[in-house]
Amino acid sequence: MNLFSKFSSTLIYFSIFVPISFFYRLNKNKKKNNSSWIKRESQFAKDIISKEP
Amino acid sequence: MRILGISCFYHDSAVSLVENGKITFAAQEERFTRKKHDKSFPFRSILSCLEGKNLKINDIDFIVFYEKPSLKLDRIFKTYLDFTPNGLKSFNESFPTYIKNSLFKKRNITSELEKLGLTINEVNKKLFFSEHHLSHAASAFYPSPFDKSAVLTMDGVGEWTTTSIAFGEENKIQILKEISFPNSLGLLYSAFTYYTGFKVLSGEYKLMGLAPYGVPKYVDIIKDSLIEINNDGSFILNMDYFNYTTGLTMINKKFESLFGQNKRISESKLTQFHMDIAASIQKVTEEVVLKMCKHIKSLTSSKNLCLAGGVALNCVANGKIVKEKIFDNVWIQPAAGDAGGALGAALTFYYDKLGNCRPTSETDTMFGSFLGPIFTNQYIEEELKSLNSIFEFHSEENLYKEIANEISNGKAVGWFQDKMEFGPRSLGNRSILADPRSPIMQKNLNLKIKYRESFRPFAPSIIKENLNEWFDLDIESPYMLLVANVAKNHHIIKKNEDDLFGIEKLNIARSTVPAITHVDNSARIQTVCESTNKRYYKLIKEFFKITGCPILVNTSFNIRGEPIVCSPKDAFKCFMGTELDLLVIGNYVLRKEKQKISKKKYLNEFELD
Repeated sequence: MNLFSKFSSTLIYFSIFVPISFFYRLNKNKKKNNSSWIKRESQFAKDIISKEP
Repeated sequence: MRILGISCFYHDSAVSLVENGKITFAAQEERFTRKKHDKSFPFRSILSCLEGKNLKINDIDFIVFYEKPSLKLDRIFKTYLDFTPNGLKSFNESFPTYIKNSLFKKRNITSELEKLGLTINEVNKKLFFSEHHLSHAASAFYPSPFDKSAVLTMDGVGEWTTTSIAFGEENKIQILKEISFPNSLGLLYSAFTYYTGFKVLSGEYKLMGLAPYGVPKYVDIIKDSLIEINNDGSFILNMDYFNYTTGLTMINKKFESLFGQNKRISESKLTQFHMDIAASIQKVTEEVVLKMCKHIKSLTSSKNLCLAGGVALNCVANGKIVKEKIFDNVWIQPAAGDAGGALGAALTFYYDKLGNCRPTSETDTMFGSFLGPIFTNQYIEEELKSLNSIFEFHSEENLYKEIANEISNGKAVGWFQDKMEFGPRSLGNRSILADPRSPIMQKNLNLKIKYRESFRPFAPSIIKENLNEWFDLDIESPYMLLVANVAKNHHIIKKNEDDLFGIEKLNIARSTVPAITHVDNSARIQTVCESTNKRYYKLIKEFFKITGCPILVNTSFNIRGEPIVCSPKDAFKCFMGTELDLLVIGNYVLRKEKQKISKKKYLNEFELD
């Protein structure tokens, strides 16, 4: 990776990624559960298989 | 109705063909490209499939990819958001590649399919996407002999999911619960694989094989600091110790400090510490898996369990599930890793999406996992002639007697027959075979033929009917995915073993079949059945007649770092590059001492795994 692309990548990281991250984590549900099992919204295989964008 | 399943772009690319619900072909790309764990688009596997079936790509009705690139992209993006400002280095170095690979995955698949002869419109019409863990679940449930079954999938990570519980009934699968990244049992095991100096995604077997040499003295440290295990089998990893979310390594300095030693440098000496670490993580893994199984039982009341995902290749943990008798029946997909995703994707499309009826079957529908390419005697003869080899042709009956006799005399034999196996195990069609009674065979095979680490154990193939007399296992293990102990009546009484540590334990013959008995008296068992592998069954039967032992050592036909041989040419190259004594391809027998061409340096052709 050359110096210019490293610089631009770092710039993107701090100017875009870090601010988005702040708001993303602010809105994220911080509730702690006793279990890490998550129930799926779409449970049936026929609904899961799809075309991709 | 023909459906092609594809898995690629991560590791262990593969293709499978399902014709009217029947699995008719499945193979991993690495076997054709000769690059271990090859992740590239399975171009050559598809060509082999089409050629073998006399089909054109246009004869395929649907193509199903095993996971969803958009969801994977979502995970990568959100993980970076979650861990910012950590991960700048990885952001600079890997993020653009990750994004490019995920963002353009569909376009890459489309362009590869175009090369095979499909137009872009045909690809758009035919191409569908399953989900990673749904593909795993389908690969475990649909080929199983069960009408209804609970399904547990566990691996490193798919899109978001790392573990899932599903329920399969007739032609439908319902996913009930899942655990999401970064909590991953597979990645936890891989972190320890990395820490002990083995390669991630290929060294996990080695860590499992190393565990019996150690004492699980770090279990409490692991449970106190690295993983919180709940009674329902769910778990939360303490990410303060891991680096795989946004870093370029699996673990960080804090992890190393926790155990008081730095990561082992690859190929450096293994010490008792590494063995104890291996034993500890193996024990923790088993605890999590067993708790999950108990939770699944209470959740589904199912008497059957199907398993898939990379963690399901941990045959020691599988053996514990069977031993605990939580379920009446357990069935494990032989290609439990990502290669099996290609199969699951095609099957779930056929049954779930298209709603086709699933016929009941008393046995599984994997055909012994012999689903790869096959070569005729005529092809083999022409190939052997072109390689300037010296060979003999043997009649069917004479072949088994002759080879069984050679094995009983201590010879190591490359055995190449019929269709290639699908999945990471050689099951008797692309195998190296030897006498399990020999006390020096384990060492010889490891050092002179496989060129691999001396601590690694070998697996036995046993005639199904003789299983109970030799092992503490009461169910079949056709895919070498269960570990159980050698029966006590075959143990040899040992002296002063308490004074021995680590690898020293290897030098003690602890049973009448020392070449396949691990240091804890366990063995990774393959039961051989006449209906799925007649030739191999007959060979072991002949060996039984000569020796009174219905067991052969069975290890994959390759050397360290090499994919298992696929073609007669690969087999011949491996034969000439190692200390193998005989090579049997179909009915043709090649003896090393009769070959006129010189032995070639072979080991350097492959990168060590």
